[in-house]
Amino acid sequence: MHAPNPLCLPALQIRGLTKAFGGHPAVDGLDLTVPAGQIYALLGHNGAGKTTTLRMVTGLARPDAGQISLFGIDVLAEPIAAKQITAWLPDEPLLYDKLTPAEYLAFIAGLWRVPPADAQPRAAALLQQLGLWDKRDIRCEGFSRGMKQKLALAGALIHEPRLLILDEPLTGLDAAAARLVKDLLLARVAAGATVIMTTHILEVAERMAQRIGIIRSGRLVAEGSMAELAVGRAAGTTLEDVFLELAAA
Amino acid sequence: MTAMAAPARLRPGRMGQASLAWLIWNDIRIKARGREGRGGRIIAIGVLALLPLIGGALAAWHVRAAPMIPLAVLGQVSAALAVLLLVMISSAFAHVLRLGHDRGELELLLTAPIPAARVIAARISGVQAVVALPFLLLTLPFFAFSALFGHGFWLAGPFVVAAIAVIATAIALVLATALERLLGPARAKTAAQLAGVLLGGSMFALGQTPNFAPAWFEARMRALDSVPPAPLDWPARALLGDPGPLLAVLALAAAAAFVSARFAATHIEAAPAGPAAEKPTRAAYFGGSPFSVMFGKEMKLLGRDPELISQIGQQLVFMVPVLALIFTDGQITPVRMATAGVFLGGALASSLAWLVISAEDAPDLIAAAPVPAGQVLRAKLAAALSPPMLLVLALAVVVATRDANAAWLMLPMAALAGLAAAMMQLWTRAPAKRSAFRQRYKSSLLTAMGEFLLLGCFAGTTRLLLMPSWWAPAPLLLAGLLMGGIYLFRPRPEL
Repeated sequence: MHAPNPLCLPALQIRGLTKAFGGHPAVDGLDLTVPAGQIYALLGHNGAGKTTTLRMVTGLARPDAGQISLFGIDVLAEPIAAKQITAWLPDEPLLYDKLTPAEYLAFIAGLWRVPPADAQPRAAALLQQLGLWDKRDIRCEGFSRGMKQKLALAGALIHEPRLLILDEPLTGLDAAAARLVKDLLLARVAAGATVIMTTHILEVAERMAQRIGIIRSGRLVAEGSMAELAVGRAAGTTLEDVFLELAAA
Repeated sequence: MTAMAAPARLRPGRMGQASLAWLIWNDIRIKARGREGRGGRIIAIGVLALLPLIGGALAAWHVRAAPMIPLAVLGQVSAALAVLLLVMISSAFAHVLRLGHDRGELELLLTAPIPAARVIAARISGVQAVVALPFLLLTLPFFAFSALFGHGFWLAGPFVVAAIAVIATAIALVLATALERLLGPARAKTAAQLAGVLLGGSMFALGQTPNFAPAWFEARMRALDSVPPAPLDWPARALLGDPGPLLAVLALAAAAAFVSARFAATHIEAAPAGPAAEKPTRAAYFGGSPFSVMFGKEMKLLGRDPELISQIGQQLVFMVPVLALIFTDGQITPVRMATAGVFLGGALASSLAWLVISAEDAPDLIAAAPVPAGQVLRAKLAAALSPPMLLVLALAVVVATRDANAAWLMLPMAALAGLAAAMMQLWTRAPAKRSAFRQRYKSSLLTAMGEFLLLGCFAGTTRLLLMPSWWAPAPLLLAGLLMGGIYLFRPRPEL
């Protein structure tokens, strides 16, 4: 019997994932598979269970039941190994106001054990790509929401994760910055990374994601490419039509 | 159609919605809400109120035979009120400077269809209440018991204390506005912190003068035996219920309240809504093991925290007069120094532990990093304990010149006290912003009292060991029980 080829393993596999808060189920027996090398958009109304699911995947919340594996690594049994290949970018940027962007990226690189010889050029490239190079030695406390969001994204990319998990990554960004971030994510996927993101901007999901999952009351109610989701529906059906029909049903 | 009943908590009651009283009540209610429930808060306030209650009753009994206006102590009362005014100005100054900068909630109120002057007046009343409240709590029992023992006019006392708070707030507002115009907002804030440190230290040093300069202290007290000339004696006379001076003080407070409202509007409008000007910072390097990366980050953030530097400065200033005493014939001995060092080292470690544990800016980032939680915790504890231990070490060197045993004992006891206080911060942690550093004890009075008791136990054991006494393990045992209790009843966040 052969061991599974790591290149063929799904980026994320969830089986029977359950989580309740104060007796109310937030995630209810969720099954989900995200193939590697794609952008996967997880959609749902507020409170549908998207963020709770992603927090369990990143090891920030403990499931009541179920299994999660990232590229074949059991998240519950080997949390450190799973975290090593993952980056988490929540909707509120995780920054230190008293650190400069250069220091922040050096700190993240240190936590993920990226050798300084690799981290420094990567940090410089990211800061330049995201238009933060001129601010590299300025403390973050005066930054706008968009600048903080871009720096947090740079922090998520500095250790070159195989799986990027993003919760509302375009929140607070102006049109130009949003375009920059989208291009950066597409480039990462082209280089072999996997992106899972939640978004309330359905046009972004429709344009960027290869696969889309719609979650309602902690359960996956539909999944597929945009074309697959539109099967059996009128011509010209948009993701918004599908989402409103399924997420609110 | 049936009208939906408003939730009980949101009913305006007798106060008209958006009235000045309603706004003040809203402000006080938000400030008063802590982490513990209503029961916990009542217990904490009850315990805190017990000492002034007993002390006030005893003091009132002691002076029950005094005349209504005791001329012999009028000079001392005047001096005490002058000190009170200074302390209140310092306290009001810090609140006033924050008034313009913590704008989020204020902007919500200013966008509501309420006259801006009313919103600002409510905010200023909040500052006046916060400045007056601790002193009212301390003095109210004395005045109330004095009235019971026959000094009915002394009930004017609390009104005079409140009036001084109003006057202090007005002075602070005028000073803050002037300083911000002269130095700019950021430097004005630093100047306020520095002034607070110096004033606090001076008050502490003044309180120590009977110990290390008894002759000087006696001379000053003798000078205060004579009745000050009018109108310098008016505040003291007003405090004791003399109608003329009382009316004058209250009229001055009313004028001060008017000035406050006018200056507050200017001050808040002048405060910058955006971030401070950008200044390049010398880059720090974070490298090595995850432990050293975490440790380096915590040390860097601690070093860049002006609130913290102010706090450390205050504690250092408090130690200066004590340090000066060690080589004098005063009553502070190396044993007492060692005891104080254990307490201060533990208190400083607790403050830093709060910053690195509860006030972690990006807890999810750390939790999502591939670093074992134990390693993160060890790095944070090391960061919280290192600066106080360096400070205690310096103190130990001074103590060692007089008593080597006291110095040797102080070091491990201070480390233990610091570790215990840090663990207590860990078990009772609640996420908070670093900017809430000054308010950390307000959010849980029970935690604050527990910490005080815990550090007292370690300091007590140090003192008893150096005496020496067989009772030395008793406070340590009490500390152990306290720690056990806190561990057992610690809040367990749902993950």
